[in-house]
Amino acid sequence: MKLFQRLAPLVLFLTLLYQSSYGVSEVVSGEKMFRFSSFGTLALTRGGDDNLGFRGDLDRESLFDGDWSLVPDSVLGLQMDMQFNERFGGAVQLVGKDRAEDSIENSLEWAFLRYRLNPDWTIRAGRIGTDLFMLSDYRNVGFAYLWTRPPPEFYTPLAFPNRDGVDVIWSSNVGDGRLRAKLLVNTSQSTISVADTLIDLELKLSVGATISWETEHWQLKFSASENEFGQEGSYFPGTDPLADALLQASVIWPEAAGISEQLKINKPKIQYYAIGAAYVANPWQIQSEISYFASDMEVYPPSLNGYVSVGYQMGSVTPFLLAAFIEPQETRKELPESPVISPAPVITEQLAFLRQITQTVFDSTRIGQRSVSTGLRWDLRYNLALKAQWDHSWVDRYSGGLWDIRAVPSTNQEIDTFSVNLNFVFR
Amino acid sequence: MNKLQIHLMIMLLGMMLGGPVGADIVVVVNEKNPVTGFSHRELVDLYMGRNLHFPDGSLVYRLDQEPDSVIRKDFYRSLVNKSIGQVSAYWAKLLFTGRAMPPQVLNDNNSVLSAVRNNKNAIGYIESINLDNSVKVVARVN
Repeated sequence: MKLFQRLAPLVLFLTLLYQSSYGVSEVVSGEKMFRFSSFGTLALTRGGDDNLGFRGDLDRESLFDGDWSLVPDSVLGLQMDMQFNERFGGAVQLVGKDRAEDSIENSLEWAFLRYRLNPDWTIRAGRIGTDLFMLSDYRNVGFAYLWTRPPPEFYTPLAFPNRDGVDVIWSSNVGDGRLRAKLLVNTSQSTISVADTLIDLELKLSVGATISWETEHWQLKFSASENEFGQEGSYFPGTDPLADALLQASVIWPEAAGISEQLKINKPKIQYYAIGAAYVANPWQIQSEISYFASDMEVYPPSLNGYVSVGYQMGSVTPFLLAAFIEPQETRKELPESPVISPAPVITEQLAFLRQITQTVFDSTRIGQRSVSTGLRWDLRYNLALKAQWDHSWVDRYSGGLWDIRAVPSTNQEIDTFSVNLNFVFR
Repeated sequence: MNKLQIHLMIMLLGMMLGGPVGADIVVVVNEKNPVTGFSHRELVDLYMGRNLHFPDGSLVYRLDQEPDSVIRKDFYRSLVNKSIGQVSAYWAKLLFTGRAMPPQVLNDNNSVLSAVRNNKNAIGYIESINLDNSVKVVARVN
């Protein structure tokens, strides 16, 4: 099976690493210098139709035609924690999953060094999970949350799962809880698949802050970040050939030059704001988050995103309800009709095609969708959980960018996704 | 079998299945550790990885008991009212985001006792009947 062939080298590598560490493992104040742990999800997913391809995340491969598949949601992760002395340590995490672009570099989810200056201050540098939303730095770890996957309406638009950079963390007791404030500066790259074409996205620079406050039952989190996507004045990723074609067409279709201008990244800085709250006290598990993507970029309109989830634990089984949305905050940009050149029907046809493709670009970044989900998590053992979930999604016409789209639907769509997951952790 | 015998049988069975009834759990640290005691909340913060340090600033070396043991179940039930599975899911989040490593699992009360005896920064929990004078009690649970 394709997925497991891809995971095999990873497992081998970690096994060798684990065995070789026996020789060097020493004891630092009683604790082992190296510790190994792993997590994984064996997931059976049924989703997509002949036009909309289901994908668990933007950088993953998609599933069409309502087929059952093990590929879209299955994950295997391996981690090595290092503790050199009381202050200095780090971690490396490799994650194998079916990505749009498979590579060792993409599989390296985490690789950082950490220095604790004192009990209140910590600094980390290297590759670090994106910590802006409540689950954004552990969305691969299915065992750690209730659903089969974090709500795509909220988590998928945050396209870069990990970042290369530095964060500085300050934590202290405040009131009944523990406050953690974090400053982050980083950069990232990601490859996604759009209509069977691989597109490289670049996060040139991101600067952000998160504040979280945690008590025994409550967790509150706020974050704000400014994210600079690509080079100002260059074309939106993947649209260079399209822009060229438009410029060439402008000889017979004057408006095409203006349209190609709109494909340029005019204001690359997008601000993300997020607020989240969770309440966990037996038997209730309630969680909600809302975020706003403030974009002035022509090709990428602003959006409001959110979800609310309620779980009720009964013994080892926790049924849940989840509702999520993403709403674009601008009306659809509709391109002018291409001209009809009656003596040359072939050219007329080609211009219409060019217009349609360009329209697809604008439609794929303006996303509008709502989903309701229900399912349950069944804790079989202290490190093993079985989950089942059904999602029903309402996808607005021309706004299905969370899906891998073959042809932009001109009518509203409804689509179901089913998933059964086995989640585990070993440590 | 008379009624008394049946009652005795049931009591014995209950003791065998449920372990020692109402056994006290004590949280212990090394004798040289300057800490004198922990409140419930301080203990929760330590054992749930929200606080990684003792008041004197040294890194805490947390010890846990076997995942299937009764004492572990009772300890977390009375500490945070969570099942072992829920605690494990909570720790997965901290571990796999590089925030903190979960407590190290040792085999039994005696292993915890000797680890605490030999390590200034260790903290562990044991059944009070296993307690001796070589370690310091900083909290009682149950």
